[in-house]
Amino acid sequence: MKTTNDIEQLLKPKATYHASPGLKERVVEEAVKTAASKRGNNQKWWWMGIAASLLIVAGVGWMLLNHKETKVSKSGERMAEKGSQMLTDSSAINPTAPLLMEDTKPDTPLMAQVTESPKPRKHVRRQTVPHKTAVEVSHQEELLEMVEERATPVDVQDNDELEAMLNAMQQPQSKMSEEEEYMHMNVRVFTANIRIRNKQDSN
Amino acid sequence: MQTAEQTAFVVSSGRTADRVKELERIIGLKQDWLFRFAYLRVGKREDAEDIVQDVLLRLYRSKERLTHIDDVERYLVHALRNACIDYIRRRPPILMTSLEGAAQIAEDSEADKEIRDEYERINRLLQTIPTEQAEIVRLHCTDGLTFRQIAQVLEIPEATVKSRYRYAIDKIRKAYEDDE
Repeated sequence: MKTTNDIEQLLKPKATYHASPGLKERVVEEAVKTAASKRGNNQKWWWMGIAASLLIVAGVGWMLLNHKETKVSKSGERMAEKGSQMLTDSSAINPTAPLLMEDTKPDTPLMAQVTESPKPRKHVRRQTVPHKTAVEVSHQEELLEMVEERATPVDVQDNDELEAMLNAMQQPQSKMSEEEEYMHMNVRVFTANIRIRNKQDSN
Repeated sequence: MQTAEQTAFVVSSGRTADRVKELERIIGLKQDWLFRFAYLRVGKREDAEDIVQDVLLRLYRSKERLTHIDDVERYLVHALRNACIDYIRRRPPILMTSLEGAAQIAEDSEADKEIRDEYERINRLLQTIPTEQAEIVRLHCTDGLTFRQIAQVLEIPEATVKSRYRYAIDKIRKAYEDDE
């Protein structure tokens, strides 16, 4: 009768087992190869990462540059709009004022005049803000003095005419500037006084 | 069987040279034991060595994933056992004809003849019992693992291991006596 120990002894290996001497070298060689390929892979990933980051930087730069250009062009557009608005506003100040002969070109055909772009700035400046020289100002003052001198002897009987004149003066002339209104009024008063004087002289 | 202290795989540095040195140390300590483990399952020197090589390389590669392998013994036994099972499953049903077998034996050296005889003797005894019992007997008797270690490797209770072992030995004894 065999005991458990006897059976265990039967199953226990008695021979000496030796792996081939080349096994260790093979395994180490493979391990080194694996490490090298992993290192190569790592380097590849590094290069890919660098390339990707460069691309991102370039993309962001391009976007920023594009954004700046758009901003500049938009501000340019806004300025142009503003300018044209100013031009239209200034031309609307006194639309009834007669055009100066300098601005028209009688020798050129009409269509050419229409299609040709006029010089709005020059035109507008002449229409809106009369540039007063020293001579003009002194002349105006003279006129005013004359009006003041001559206005005193106005007869009460001629009140109708004066009233009509004043009424005419009180008509709203919103399109004219204050200076122009004042000038107009002075001229009318002056002419009225001359007429009154002439009447008195003839009488 | 080596103790865990002797083969402890200290993952202290990630440098390749250190890792290769550590692997060499493990191979130096364990290669014969690993070879015997594989040979007594597959019965062919070349295949057993290939399996051992694969398992060691897997251990080397897995070192990067595992922060610390506290029990290399268990890791190696587990990996080697699984690799042997895969090999046996992949192996064609008829391994060698009698002529091929004879040629193989003729090529074997004296030492290889000895281990071949032992492989055949042990396998003859283990053929009389079910596979799961045979595996426990192999791990305990031929590979030298304790019942606790076997329980950890097979992931079954230690009591189950012991009872299966007892049944297996009884069956082997009966079969052996019947043969005699």
